[in-house]
Amino acid sequence: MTLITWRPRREWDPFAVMERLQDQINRAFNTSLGEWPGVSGWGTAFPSVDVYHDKDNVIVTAEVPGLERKDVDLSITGSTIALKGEKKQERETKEEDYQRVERSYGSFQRVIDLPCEVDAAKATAKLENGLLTVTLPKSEAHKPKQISIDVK
Amino acid sequence: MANNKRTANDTRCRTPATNFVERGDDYGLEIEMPGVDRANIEINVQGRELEIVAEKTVVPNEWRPVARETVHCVYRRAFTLGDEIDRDAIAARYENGVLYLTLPKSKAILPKKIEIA
Repeated sequence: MTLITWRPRREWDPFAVMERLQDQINRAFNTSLGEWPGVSGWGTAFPSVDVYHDKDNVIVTAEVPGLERKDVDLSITGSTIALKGEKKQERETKEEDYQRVERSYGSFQRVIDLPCEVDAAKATAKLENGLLTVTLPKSEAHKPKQISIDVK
Repeated sequence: MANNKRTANDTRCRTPATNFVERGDDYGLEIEMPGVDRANIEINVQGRELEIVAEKTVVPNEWRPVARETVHCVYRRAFTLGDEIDRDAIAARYENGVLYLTLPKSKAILPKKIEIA
């Protein structure tokens, strides 16, 4: 004989059901994203780009694993920056040796809006550990200015 | 193959895209982990588990985000090693944001030619 704990029959509560559903949806978004191989965040385009700014510069970083300097082309116009290039397979590996391929390849082109006008002539870029960092000085008009007032 | 257990408390884990290669006398892994300092890559072999953990370098404090597509993260991936891999001979190289691991097959399973004396 089995003994089952007696529970009073609960009323069906549509709000509780909805809350549970919402909880499940939230969990699906919070946990699974980024755990898929190669997914970096909300961006689906390659490369994933972050834009920052500080007092004097706008800084753009792009994740370009496996790319070398010659594989990326940068062009800056006013307040946009364009990244162009091609991500190729490893040269030294034979196609038939691959057992599983999660990395993606191909040519890419992205145009990123910058938060303000920049001085394209003074821009610098470096590629380190698969991360491209472009530093773009803000054009003079967009730099914060300090105005001192003489108190008489 | 992947094991998505989280390691750091606040930081998100990211499963890096990985290619797996089998060559004549070794296996190879190409793991994409852009933005990591070589010193922050940890490769652990414990029993049959090969675990790779690497934290992405944090951007300077003065940089204020305007638009972000990436999250600050720890890359983590674990693999189960078969008996055919010589665990003591695993070698690693980090180049252009990609971690290359070479896992040699152990001598015992490689084809052998026996000469008649």
